[in-house]
Amino acid sequence: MLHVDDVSLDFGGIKAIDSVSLEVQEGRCFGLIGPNGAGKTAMLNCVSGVYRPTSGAIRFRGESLLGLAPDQISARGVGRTFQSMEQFEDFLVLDYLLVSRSAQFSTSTLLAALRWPSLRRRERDERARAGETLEKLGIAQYARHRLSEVPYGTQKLIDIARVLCSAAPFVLLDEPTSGTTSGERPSISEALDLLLADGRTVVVVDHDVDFVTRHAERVAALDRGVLLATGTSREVLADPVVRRIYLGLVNDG
Amino acid sequence: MRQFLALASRFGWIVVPVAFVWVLASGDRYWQFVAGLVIIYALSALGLDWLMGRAGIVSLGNGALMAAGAFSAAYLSQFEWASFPVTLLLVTALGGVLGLLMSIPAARLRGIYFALVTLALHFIVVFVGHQYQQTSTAFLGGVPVADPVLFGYELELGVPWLLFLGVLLGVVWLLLHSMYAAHPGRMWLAIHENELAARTIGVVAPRWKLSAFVGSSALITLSGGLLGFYTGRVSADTFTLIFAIGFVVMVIVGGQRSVTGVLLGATAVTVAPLLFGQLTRDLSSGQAGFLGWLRDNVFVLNSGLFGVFVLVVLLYLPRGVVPSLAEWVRARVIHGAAPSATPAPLSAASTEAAEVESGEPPLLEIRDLRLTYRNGARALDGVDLGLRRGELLAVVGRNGAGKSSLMRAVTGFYRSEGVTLRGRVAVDGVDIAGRSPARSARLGITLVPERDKVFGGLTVGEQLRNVGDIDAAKDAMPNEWELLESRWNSPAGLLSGGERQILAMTMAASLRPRLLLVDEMSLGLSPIAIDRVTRALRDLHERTGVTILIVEQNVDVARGLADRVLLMEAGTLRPLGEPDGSPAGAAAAREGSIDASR
Repeated sequence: MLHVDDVSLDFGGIKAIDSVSLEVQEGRCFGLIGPNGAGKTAMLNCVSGVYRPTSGAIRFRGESLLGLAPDQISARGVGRTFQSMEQFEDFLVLDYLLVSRSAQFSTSTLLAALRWPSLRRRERDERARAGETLEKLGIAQYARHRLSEVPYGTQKLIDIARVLCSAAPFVLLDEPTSGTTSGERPSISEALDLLLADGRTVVVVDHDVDFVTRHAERVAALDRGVLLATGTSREVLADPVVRRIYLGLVNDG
Repeated sequence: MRQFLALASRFGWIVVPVAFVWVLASGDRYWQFVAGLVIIYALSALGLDWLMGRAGIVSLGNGALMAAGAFSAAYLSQFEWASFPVTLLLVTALGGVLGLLMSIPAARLRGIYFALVTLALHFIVVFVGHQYQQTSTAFLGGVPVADPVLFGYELELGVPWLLFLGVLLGVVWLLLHSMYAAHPGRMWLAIHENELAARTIGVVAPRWKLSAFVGSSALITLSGGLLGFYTGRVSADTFTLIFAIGFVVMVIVGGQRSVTGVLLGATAVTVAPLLFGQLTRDLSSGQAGFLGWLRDNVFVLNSGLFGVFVLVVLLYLPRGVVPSLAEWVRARVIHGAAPSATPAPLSAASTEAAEVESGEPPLLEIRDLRLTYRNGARALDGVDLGLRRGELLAVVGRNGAGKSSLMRAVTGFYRSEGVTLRGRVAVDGVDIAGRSPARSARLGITLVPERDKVFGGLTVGEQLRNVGDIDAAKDAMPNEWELLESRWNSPAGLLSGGERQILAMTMAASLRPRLLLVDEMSLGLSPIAIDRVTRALRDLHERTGVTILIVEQNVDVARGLADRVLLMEAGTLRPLGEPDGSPAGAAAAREGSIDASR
């Protein structure tokens, strides 16, 4: 579904990504692991159009994504979540869920101003749908809260609820567990399972190896922009280089 | 009380129609005229709020658009075929076209750069207006505008005009409200919050910015046309720079993203100078002393007082009057009078323990500290803590337990944050509760924050050279020096999370702090990086003997480093059970730990 081919990304002489190639199969969960600064989030930002790779190719369903604006990439079915939700904290939770439903709404400002009946019906239906998604994740009580008033871990859950609500068949999850407590993690796991059960293709970037390998069939390990290993999670975890660089100094516990 | 507040916040807008009807019924021609002006200005300010408050595009173009509207109304109204409603429609359409043109530079320029473009536009339009005024049938005092005729009736000043404007404002209000509450409102808010991020999640930003430009410009230009008809004469001298800035002030003072707020802002900016003028008008010119001086200087005082008023609002109600009020009400309605959830039975023990063991007063002493944020959330609920000189104490707890608030209570808050602090925070016996961060920094309290701990645009070397004593840093962390030197010339923004943490701790050490606070040192770091920063902090502690307070989510890190570990829950502190003892505390800590599994 997604082909990343020999992609490099330079930041003023520093290689954030160095000739990385990946392939994500439709309907599967693909994991990207690596220490801080490995280039995981940079890779994700290349796919969603925030950065433009210095060289290489990125193709989604056979079509090149290079040179497309982020909203054009999103319109082709690539959804994503964010590491931190500070940027949207003025949103009410329910309204935030509807942001990624743009395609379902009329783009007419005038009709919205005139309270066109079909638009109002659509608005009501979409709100009901978003409410159901929150309920499914057990966070319906936050629907009328502002994002800034919601605990950090729940914010991350709400971000996943937004992609669940959207129609995107392909979803990039950026560090869904970072900054969450171990008490909050099971519900994030459940949300990811819901995405997969819904038939979405998921790329999950995280540095919690247990979390990633629990969900992802295939995993790639990055370090300082270089692809160390790729394969099934067992293969990658068994790779001696990965063990040394990523898990090396950790006691076996 | 709570129900009253809930009702008040729901129906507060009723003040506006009530005031309108009151002026309408008063029969006072002067105030009726002023009310009409207020409504025309409010329409213009609502247009600006659409662009600035909703879509986040700052513009100084209101003067230019209103001038364009007023002059084109004057021009069109001389033709037989251009009746009052037709002229207004044409003027509105012209505004839409101008908005379309304004969106072209906006596609390339952001923020202050775009605001400067609108400023240039202001001068161009006013210049063209001047030229037109001189070549046309203008008399001294401006170009005349034909008397407005609506459905065969001449619209006279006073009740008829006011009724017309009132209905128009009501319609515009309804239209705007319907948009803001639906899909377009969400799109504009997303762009306002973070345009790039919004685009990655499906917001077609250029399209929505265009509609904000076209719509808001049409509304502002319409209000300019109305101003022309209302005053009967259009002069380029009306549209000064101050005039244009006045609308930005209306929106900011009253409150962005609040229709009621913008109306209040328009009223205040229009009426306040008139009231002040009326107050001093009664004074006879012959009077000596203060009153005479007051009378002679009304004009200057007027703008001076206005400036002071705006300054006060910006300093103390940065979100604007109405949203700040709404926030205050919301805090009380949603969070209620937050009941002090759990009493803190065990907390006092920790202070006493510190005193008894060492026999000297603690370096940091916190007693019965209570902290409430502006939105009513209570973060600390009776915290007691004593920190011995040279001790390394860790506070653990889950997200939202109040750990970072505790840190901030020691380093201080800014006034504008609106935090209520009760209780005692003393360093070496000096109470510093409520002091500003700058003052606590002078006392030798240094914080390594959770975020923004380094200056991303400066290189490692630049930061280390400019913060404090570089030798002190080197002495404190010799084992990290090699790493830092290897990265000496790279911008700190390109360091990995672990390297940033080490740089930040080294910078802190270079200040030779009396009390070092480290907020969430291990958050977001991989196990290998956590190891490294833990070692660095231990080094720093052992070599300098500085007193350190850390807050952590990772219980293993806290246990590995600290002499004592306290657990924070729901804004209170208590001792954390030993790894194999006190099951409740240990289990709670484990639950709250972020990386305890490894």
